[in-house]
Amino acid sequence: MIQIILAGAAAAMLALWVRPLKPEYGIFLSLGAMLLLIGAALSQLDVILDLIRQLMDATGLEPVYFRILLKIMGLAWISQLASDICKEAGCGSISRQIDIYGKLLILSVSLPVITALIETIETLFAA
Amino acid sequence: MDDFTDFGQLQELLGSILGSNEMSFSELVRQLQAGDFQTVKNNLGQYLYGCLKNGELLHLSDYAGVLMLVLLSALLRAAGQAFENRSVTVFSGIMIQMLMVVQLAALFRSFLVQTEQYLENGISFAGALFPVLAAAAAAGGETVSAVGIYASAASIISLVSRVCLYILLPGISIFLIITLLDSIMPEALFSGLSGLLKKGIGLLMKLSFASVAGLQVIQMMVLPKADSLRRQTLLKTASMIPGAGGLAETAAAVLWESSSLLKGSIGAAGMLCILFICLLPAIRIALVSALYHIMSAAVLPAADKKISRCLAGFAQSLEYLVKVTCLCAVILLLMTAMAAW
Repeated sequence: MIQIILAGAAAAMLALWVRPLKPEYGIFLSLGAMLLLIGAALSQLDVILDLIRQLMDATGLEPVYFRILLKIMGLAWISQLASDICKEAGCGSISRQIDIYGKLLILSVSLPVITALIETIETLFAA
Repeated sequence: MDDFTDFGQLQELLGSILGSNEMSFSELVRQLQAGDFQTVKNNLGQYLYGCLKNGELLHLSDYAGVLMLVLLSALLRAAGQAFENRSVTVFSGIMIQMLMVVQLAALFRSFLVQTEQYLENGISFAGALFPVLAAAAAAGGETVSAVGIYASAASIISLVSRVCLYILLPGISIFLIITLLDSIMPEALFSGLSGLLKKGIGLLMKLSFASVAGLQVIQMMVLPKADSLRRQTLLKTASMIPGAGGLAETAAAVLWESSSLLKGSIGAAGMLCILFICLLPAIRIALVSALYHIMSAAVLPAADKKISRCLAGFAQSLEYLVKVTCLCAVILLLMTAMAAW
């Protein structure tokens, strides 16, 4: 944890120092630090994912829904991250496009759930 | 008279409905005829205790899955708030809400199929009971009543099954879907439609009960009087037979009274059986409905408001299933009581 804090602080200070001289290097530095921190955070994600998996198993729903839920969460996270980076770099239009693309991807990934919902409604009326 | 105390077909039907032959219809009729109400009470109490002990009233698995989804929703909501990532919270929340609707709709379908089965059981038992009651009435000289019982039973059973199975239950399914979809939407768009459905279901239930009760009351105003007139005429005619008139009158009166007692006992035993066939499932669904109401209130501080609304809507739909089962039971009980009067 201390290593992560030190690495983050060092990257932030370095970015502050580099930004007035070469702004594009500052962005690359921030991006590199961000990826490093995400990598470190993902290694700690197993415990939370196990808990979510256990809860999903207990619901009696098909395992495919667990994978869809994870995909949706991941897509939402990544698209917002990318959108934030673009916004920070002053590319507002690209940020908005990433948002739209992320939402479309989420919609396409969640299609099996929507289909299941429609099928359940159909079987309810067919009963 | 022995022909009417052979309840083989009724017993077979009762055994297949209740899943065991613990409740004996002929034994119940004999005990009621003898006025042994204490034994009847003990036997029925034991049967009810057996059902409770076997856990037939409440299946924990009915709501464990939904509770887990609620926990998951609360966990993801808390995680989203902690990481200040709005899009993860929103999208995972929508996903959980849709899964909740799928889960609740599938669960409701199982309750719907069960309710249909309970109603069909009650109706088929009543369908087998009324010919026996009509035969007992005919044996006691109440031929007009017997014909009336038979004719009204057929039409009322047809009405009850059509109204409950083909109108009310599908109506409740539509109400559930509308309520669930309404609860996961940002605004209550279908609240007017669900309110209208609620009114329609309530009105139809009241109308069904009123029409059956009215028909039975009209029958009761005419049929026993016609039978009484016929019986009095026969008794007076028998009493006019020179020499054996008194004996014939007494014998006919005893025969009719014993037939009337038998008819009353069959009716009372039938009412108890209908009560058990329809009441136990209704209690079970009512308990599950109450649990979902409690769950809806309990999850409000932790989970999403929409999840709480979903659970409340589901509980309300289950309440309607209980009401329909009770309506069917009350109509069948009323018919049996009037027929055995």
